[in-house]
Amino acid sequence: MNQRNEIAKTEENGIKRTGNLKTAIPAVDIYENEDEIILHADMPGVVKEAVSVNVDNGTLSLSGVRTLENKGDPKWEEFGNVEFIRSFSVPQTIDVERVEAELMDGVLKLRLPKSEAAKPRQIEIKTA
Amino acid sequence: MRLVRYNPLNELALLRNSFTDFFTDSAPKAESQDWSPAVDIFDAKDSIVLMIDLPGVQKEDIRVNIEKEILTLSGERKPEIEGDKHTFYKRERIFGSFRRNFILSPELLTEEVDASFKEGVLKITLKKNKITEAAKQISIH
Repeated sequence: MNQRNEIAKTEENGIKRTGNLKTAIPAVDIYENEDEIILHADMPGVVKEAVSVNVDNGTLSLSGVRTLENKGDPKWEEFGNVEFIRSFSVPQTIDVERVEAELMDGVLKLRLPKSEAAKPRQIEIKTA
Repeated sequence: MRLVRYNPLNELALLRNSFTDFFTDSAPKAESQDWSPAVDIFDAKDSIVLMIDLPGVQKEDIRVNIEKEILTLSGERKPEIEGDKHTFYKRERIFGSFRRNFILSPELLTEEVDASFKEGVLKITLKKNKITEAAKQISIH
């Protein structure tokens, strides 16, 4: 009986998650300049070791697990421990090999450089 | 789901907050535009711990003041990139000044406050006064 429940549960969940944490969607800012696309995601309380950034098949997925050192009895909880999850589709013009990620003060900063071919080019006009 | 112990004082504090919010709303507009960071509060036996989410805020831009029984947290989250060279696709994050008040219970020692800032989370530890706690218990019997 128990086992059957277990199977039903895994089917329901579908996506594999790390543990039984609640999930949250991090707030993001995305902007673009001539050379790159920049993505900043708010992940307060997440340490570097608990962040994963994956680019696969044109999908960029972010995940960050927040575990606060709570040695006490929770009295008031607005956020708690969560896993931040969000995914984006990445345009083909991005050079996946050169994606850079940095985590600072609870903000995950990604730089997605555009491939050389996708950058705006100035075409020189030759005079005959 | 996590069970949170019911504490009637929380409700009372909430009510008091909504009252003060109601009255401060008539204050100058600049103040009502402040955003309010999310907080988790823990009871760690000998102290009360506040965990406040302030991602992307610089330590220098956070102010914590205690006046009588009110702890005021305020500051500013400065935008990282300003410029016309950028095209924005998404702007979900909030920047600008923030403010939040907490009413402290009289059992907390406001002289012994410890604050640390790590990974965008501000942790404020307020020590409990054991003497008043003991005194309170005696008065019940």
